Amino acid sequence: MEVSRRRILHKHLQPARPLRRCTTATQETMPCGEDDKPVCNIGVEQLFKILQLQTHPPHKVSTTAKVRISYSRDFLIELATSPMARRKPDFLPDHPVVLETARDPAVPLFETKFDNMFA
Amino acid sequence: MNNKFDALKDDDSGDHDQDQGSQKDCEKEKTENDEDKDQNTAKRKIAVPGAEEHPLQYNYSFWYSRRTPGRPASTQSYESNIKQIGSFASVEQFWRFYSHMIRPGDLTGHSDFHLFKEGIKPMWEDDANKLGGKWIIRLRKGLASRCWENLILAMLGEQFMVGEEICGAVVSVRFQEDIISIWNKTASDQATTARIRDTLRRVLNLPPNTIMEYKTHTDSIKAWEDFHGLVNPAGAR
Repeated sequence: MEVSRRRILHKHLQPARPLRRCTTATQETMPCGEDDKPVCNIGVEQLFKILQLQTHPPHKVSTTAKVRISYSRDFLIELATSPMARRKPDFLPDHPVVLETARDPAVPLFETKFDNMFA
Repeated sequence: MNNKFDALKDDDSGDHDQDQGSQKDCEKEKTENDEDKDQNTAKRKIAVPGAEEHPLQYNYSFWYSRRTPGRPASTQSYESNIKQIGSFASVEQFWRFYSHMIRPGDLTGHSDFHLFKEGIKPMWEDDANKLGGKWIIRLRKGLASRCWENLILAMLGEQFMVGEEICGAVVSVRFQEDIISIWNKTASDQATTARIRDTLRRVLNLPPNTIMEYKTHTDSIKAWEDFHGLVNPAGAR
């Protein structure tokens, strides 16, 4: 019993320590704050970079720091034959250059010949 | 949160889904005459990519112009001669317009197709163009359709890699030759213009002896004013 009381007394004496902790704590906050600052500064830019790195939509190629939507010629031409790409737009002016039905996406043969000439 | 671009995309396509009429509206062509009659022009909806479609980096508009013989040439008459055919925001929407327009090689007379970023008029005087210039390539007859297609596919596919610099492209059908050109914002930016030239060479698959010329719009305006002021006030540009 006596022993346990002493222990209790010891524990009751302990609250004196926080005074010391207070002083050490204030000292600690100084370097702590300095550490935080640079972390915060990098944080905004880095977070943005991280966000962009995680962005990998299909068929999009990020070429520079900014993500730009780019497509190769071959990929664009592949899409030309999809039914969605063949439907006539709803509002087209009645005009000599406007066609009633979609024309064949293929390039006329004589022009392909020219193309091969340059290849 | 990990992908803000997806969030934007969903928002756009969601808007499209809510309003099935929006696609019709966005493709509505706007003629100069309509503009006078239609008070709602300013409210015209901006083209958005459809749900299953492939979005483009920018929205674009097709324009067509043809010289009307005998009309006085002025900036104003040039503007009234140029007709907007339609705007698009996705690869699929582009093909829908493109496949319903005749090929430049089949155009007759003194006429031009223009493909410009939405909001930029194919005119030297537009804010986006006034400090700019263009690369010009003169083509012998028979090459325009294929070269034009390669040029605009490179532009839509963002192959030039010059940031925001590209404004649009033009194919001009003339009597003995055809001309294709690509316009950029800053004529004085030599790194950009050099990069555009090199990309043009690559994507157009041009013969090595092809002559490419860069012309600033201020020079074009000066030449045009000199010509029409001194020689022929009734000509067209």
